[in-house]
Amino acid sequence: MEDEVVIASSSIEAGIGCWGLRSGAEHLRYRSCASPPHGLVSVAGRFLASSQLRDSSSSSGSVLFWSWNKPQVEVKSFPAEAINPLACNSDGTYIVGGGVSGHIYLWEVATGRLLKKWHGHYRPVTCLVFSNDQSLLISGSEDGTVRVWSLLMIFDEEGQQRAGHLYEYSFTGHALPVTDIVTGYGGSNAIILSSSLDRTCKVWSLARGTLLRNIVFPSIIDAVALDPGEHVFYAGGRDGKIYIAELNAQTTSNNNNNNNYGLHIIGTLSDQSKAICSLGFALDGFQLVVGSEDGMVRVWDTKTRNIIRVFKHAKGPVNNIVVMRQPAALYPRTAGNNNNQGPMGRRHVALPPPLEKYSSIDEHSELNAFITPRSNSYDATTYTTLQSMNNQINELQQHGSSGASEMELERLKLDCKRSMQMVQQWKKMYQNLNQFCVGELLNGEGDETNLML
Amino acid sequence: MAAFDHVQNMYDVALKPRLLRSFIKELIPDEKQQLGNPLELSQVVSAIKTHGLLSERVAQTDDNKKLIEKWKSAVDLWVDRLLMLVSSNMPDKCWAGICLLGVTFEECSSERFLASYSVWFQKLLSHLQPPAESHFVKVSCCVSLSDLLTRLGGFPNMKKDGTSHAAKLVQPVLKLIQEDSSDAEGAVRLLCTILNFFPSSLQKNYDSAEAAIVTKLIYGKCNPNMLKKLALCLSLLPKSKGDEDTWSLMIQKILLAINILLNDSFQGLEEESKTSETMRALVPPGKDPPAPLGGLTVFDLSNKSTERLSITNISTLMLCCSTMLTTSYPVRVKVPIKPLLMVVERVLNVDGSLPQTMYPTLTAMQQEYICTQLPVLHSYSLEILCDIIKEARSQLLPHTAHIIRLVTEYLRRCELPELRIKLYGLIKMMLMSMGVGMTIYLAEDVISNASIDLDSTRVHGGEAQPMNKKRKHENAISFLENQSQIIYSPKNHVPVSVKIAALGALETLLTVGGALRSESWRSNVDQLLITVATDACKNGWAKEANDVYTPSWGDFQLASLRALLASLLSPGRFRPAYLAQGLELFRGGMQETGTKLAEFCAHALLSLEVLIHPRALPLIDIGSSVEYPVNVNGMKDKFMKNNIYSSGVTVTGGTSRNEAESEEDDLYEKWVKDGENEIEKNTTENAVSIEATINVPEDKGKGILVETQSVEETALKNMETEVEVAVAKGVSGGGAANDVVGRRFETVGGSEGGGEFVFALGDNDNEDAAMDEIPDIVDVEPDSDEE
Repeated sequence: MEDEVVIASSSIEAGIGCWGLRSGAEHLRYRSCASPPHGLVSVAGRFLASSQLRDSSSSSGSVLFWSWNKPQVEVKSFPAEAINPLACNSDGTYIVGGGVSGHIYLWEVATGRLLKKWHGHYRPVTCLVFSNDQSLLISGSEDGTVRVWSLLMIFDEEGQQRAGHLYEYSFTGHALPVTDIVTGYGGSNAIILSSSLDRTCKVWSLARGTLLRNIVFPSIIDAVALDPGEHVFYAGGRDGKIYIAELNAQTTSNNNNNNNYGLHIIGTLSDQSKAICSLGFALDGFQLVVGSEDGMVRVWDTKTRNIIRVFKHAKGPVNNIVVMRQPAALYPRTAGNNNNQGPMGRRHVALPPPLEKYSSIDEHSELNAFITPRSNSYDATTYTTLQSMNNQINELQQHGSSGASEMELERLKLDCKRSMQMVQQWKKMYQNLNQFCVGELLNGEGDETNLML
Repeated sequence: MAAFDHVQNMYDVALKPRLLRSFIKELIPDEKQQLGNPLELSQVVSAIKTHGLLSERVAQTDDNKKLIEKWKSAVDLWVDRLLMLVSSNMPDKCWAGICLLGVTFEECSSERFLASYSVWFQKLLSHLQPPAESHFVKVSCCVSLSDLLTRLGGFPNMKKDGTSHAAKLVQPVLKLIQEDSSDAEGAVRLLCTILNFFPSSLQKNYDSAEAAIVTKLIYGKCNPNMLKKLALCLSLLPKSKGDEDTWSLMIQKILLAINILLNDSFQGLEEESKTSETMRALVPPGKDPPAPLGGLTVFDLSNKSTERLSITNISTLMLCCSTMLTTSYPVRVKVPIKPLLMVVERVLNVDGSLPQTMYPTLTAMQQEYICTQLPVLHSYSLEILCDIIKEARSQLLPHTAHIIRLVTEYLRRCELPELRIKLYGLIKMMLMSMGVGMTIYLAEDVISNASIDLDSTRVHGGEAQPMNKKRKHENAISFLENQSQIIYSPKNHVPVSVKIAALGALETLLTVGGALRSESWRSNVDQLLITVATDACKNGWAKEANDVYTPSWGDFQLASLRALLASLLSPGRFRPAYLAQGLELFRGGMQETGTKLAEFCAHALLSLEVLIHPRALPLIDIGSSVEYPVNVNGMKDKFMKNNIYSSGVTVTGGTSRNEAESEEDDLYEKWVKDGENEIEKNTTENAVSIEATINVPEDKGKGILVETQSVEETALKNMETEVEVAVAKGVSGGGAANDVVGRRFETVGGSEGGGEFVFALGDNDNEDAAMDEIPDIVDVEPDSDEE
């Protein structure tokens, strides 16, 4: 069965750890990475990208790429300013980064070009996520706002002028910096869940642009994860507890309880560890992967509420957790499965060029799309003789086409020729017979005369 | 063979060699016999295919040894007989032999194929070099060879052999294509197969192949089927070199040829500036244009061919473009989106009208001819757009605004049914590909156009309401789009097929973005769809059409029901207004057993079941005896409660729900210190739960996660308590965060009145207040930009 990998990075320079979720085995450790929260992404499973924490003296930021099978950094980019969160759409076409100045940058992965840069917030951007259908970008900032951007609008200058502002929604409910954002299923009816230093998590409606629920926690929440059934969500607190808060309960849909301390919180997962820094769900929707300040990554089973696995990452806080399908490049090389790896298998995937510092796009630059090869082994093998033959038989039956009549003609010609030969033959035979008879007759007469004699 | 040597049954392996032998004896002619009725051949082939007579697949056991021998000799005999037929000088027998040999390539065992394919290849090649007399023989020979190469291409270790064999075919095949006859059909197919499986065999003849294909495309007077195949050939051709540049060069050449031809044909119909702009996009100033496509110079392409020819050639070349986009290529290629879009835009902008600013330079007859050909060009342009969206997907983002403008503009002008259907299909795809973001852009236009298409000529007697609606929408558009006054208004009766396409577009719109900012249009669309569906279905259910191409009334019914389901399921704020009518329609439709409609109605009822009995299923099976831990800090674990509650959410579970509540009272006491509040809470909630099912109050635009409708009085009654709690919280909690929250609650309590007591934050008033605190980019309410 296909394994999943847990990828974790920390704010101190401890590299990126990578473990098989089921096997528990550690794969490569990718070196020299010290990432800010939300600064680690897997770009469509092709490679890893992470923004870097840098000392305040350097003016430019840093984003590094690693390919799956090499521990060293392969591509280094230096954006115009320090980038905190990174996000990437599911196709891996674009990488979005949020700068400390509040600007949001959008790069094209294939060429590294900076396609757009816009002023998103007044304070540093803290988190960036794509909506489920990849058409919206949701950003959170230290200024406490959560904003929803339509990517189409970002690229549509005419539309911007008509609308007057770039964002679709700007949620200003949080009083202190936003720490994490997740978004759920449901397309246009999805919810957006944001957590903040103000000890609250807020649930926003994408469809209506309103606040649906406000949940107050006893501790600052640094990370949230949404249960795939959106029944509850998990909030990792600075007090080391993972709070379980319900989303769709009607029990509390009562006016009295709206702001009650601890309301909607229906339980905790806790093992007395240090502050929770990051959360991620495994694909099965039951295993919650938790990165903690003590440098450990713990896997909880949310059904039984037990810790089922612990990975040791570093001494520093694990502030990024990514859980994903194991990329093909991480499968061990064995003689047996070399052939069935498909096109993405063993071949080393070349990494894209570094991300641009300043945009080189002007009116005349080409914005091309790339078509990546697909395996065509399924559609090409069609045999056509039978079909063609049946068509020809049809034609023959109808005696309609020139081809059919031509063939008929040919056949008749040959028939005719053969008949002519036959005629010749018959003629010859007749002549022979005739001669023979005549001869016989003459001879016979002779014989008869002999007899008579 | 003994007369009573029976086989077990029709699955018996022993039957197969015997069957094959008897076929050879009776139906396949030998040297002396004439070919009988060709129909018999197809019977033989079908028997071979059903029984696998040539497969020689037997378990290798000792018992089977004799059988294996028998079968092997039978197949040997079969092959020998066929080879004899192939070399026969009678064309019909030769043809039969070639065809049956082609079937053998597909059916025989791998061992046999690998052992003797080169012999077979030589035999067939002898009919192509020099070419045989008979047309049938040539075509079937090409087709059989194509099957041989297809089979050979399936063996990964035969690439080299295959390539060398295929290389021998290239010259004769190109010659066949060049010859002006209908023989090219098989030859083109063979060329496609070569390019698919052994592309490198064409490396040396790349230019001559390109020339041959292009010449045939331009001058060949081929039928559409043949054109498609030739276009496929041309788009596969770059594979023979297999690098990115070849592909890019090819599409650049095609685009250039299209533009040159367009310059010629559209003279006098479009502004000159357009022309030079597109050419500049294709060949940037300072760069040399590529060699002309297929070696045909500008002169060849435009001047030599008459006007008539050139327009058909444009459509042919556009077909090549879209085939190139959709055909898979071994390496990653760069698609020149901008030039492609410019061609599309150029074509779609020409509708045959003469620009007012220009002195007419073309005769009425020329205009007439162009008008007859334009729909074809438009259709191909839309096709190219579709392919771009399909292939480029998310990479299209920088261009999407351009495409949207192109499409909406065209949607307003386009009147021909066929093109409108295509256009709706395109819109559907755009909505699917870009989801929510796209609905924000397209909703208005799609709805206004689709409602016009669905309303303007109602087949079953019109009503007064459609006209009003149409007017309203027109106003809406002209209000929004001041710059263009063109409004789609079909002059003729709208065919059913267009209505089906319009319904499809609405369905997708509701599926993808039914909830987002839909307040302005949802109720109208919902009403439109229920009216269309009831009207479509009121005269009973139509029979399913046998004809695939012309949509019938039955298809319309199905489309209307599909759209209706989307309208019922698409998230809204209250119970869908037409739920009962919808359910009735689906129930009726489900009776039509054996039709697609019934299948769909069953699916619809299943989907709606969740709407009627909302589920919030527990994570864990409550029946299981897993013990859930009590948390360390004294918080009672409420998971169980939640589970029970969730199962009690169902509307029907009134009593069980009360039980659940009472069980939990003591749990609650620990949570909520104020016992008084608790009691009141329970009573109000029961009241709400009962009344919610019967009362659907007006939608106040407030967010509730699980929709429960509130009753205003209840809310008012509880308002005081709410404010009290909110204030208390604000004071006791301390800290900036709580302060803000508390304050905002007061605002809610004061200004809102009633109706909203579940989640009181986030309405516009409050948002404004919050915006004052934190400076904003532009102080426009995010919700109000569309109005």
